[in-house]
Amino acid sequence: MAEGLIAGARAGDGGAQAQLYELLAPGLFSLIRRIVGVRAIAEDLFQDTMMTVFEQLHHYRAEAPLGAWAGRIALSRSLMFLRSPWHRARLSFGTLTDAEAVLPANDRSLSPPDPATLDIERALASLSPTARMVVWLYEVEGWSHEEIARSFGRKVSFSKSQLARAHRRLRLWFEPEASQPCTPT
Amino acid sequence: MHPNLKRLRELPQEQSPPYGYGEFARRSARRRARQTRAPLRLMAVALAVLVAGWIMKRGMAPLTGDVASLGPAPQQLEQGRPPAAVDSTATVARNAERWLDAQPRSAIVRVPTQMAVTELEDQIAAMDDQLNAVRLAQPHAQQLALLQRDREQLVESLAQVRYAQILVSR
Repeated sequence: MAEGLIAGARAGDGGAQAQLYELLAPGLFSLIRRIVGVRAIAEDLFQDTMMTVFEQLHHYRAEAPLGAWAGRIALSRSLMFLRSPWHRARLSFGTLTDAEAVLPANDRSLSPPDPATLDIERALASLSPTARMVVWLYEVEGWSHEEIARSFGRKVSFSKSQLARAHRRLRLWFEPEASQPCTPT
Repeated sequence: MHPNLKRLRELPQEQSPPYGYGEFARRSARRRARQTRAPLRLMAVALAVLVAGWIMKRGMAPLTGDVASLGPAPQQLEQGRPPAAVDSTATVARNAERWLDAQPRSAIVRVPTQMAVTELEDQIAAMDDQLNAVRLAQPHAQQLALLQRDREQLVESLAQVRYAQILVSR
């Protein structure tokens, strides 16, 4: 990403900030949406994330790509939400099964996905937000169990058991016949 | 690793953000303005609390009910969970609104929280006025849906702050 663009955005140049927004927003929104599931919450967290990105831009040292740096902010915002007591209380208001509407089929902001993508999105949506976050951090972002546990303020066994349960659930999703007991004929 | 888990990494990394830079800048300005106005409102609410305290000390009847009736504790909330059926943001907002209506006003308030509550209630009232105006002018406009969604988010924020109040008061 052009140094000039970042420097301009740091200096408060509206044009540079707009360009930076266009570059970062699709990836960040996609990440947050996939993790928290609920679109309205994802929008709120996305706004927070983008504001923090611009506010903290002067701390960015180019040790990692800007997208990855901003992604850490998005993950941290999502984690804060998932850890909040409000998140648990909210479940009682709407009974958002933990799998509310991550499904792209109902989302006009997504281009029509191929069936395989849709299937994996649905499988991911079937997990609880916490399990989804753990799977995402471990499988996609490459975090270690120690890092995940630290970020949730829990022990390593929490991360391992969440991941194991999520794997079991995903296996059942993809291979439901595998869970059926064998019956002699 | 299961092949399907590998496919997680191949999921499309980008989807259209909910709004463009213009709207982002507008929302950012609104949030900052809210933060800037906070100290003034804090002073106003502190003054109101002092006046209320003075009135109560002078022997007038308590302004509202007792603190024990502040609202259900989180555990009670969990027990009173509505039936698990629908899962839309609108439903959450409707249920949150019903829950808010059921909460009595507290006799003892923390100024910063009460300030946030007042601010959000003002915004919801303003949003209701705006919704009415739009309904009368353009009954089927897309703007109506956008306003409705903004209102749902405000109601949820209000429920969030009131919930925090209840947690603190326990």
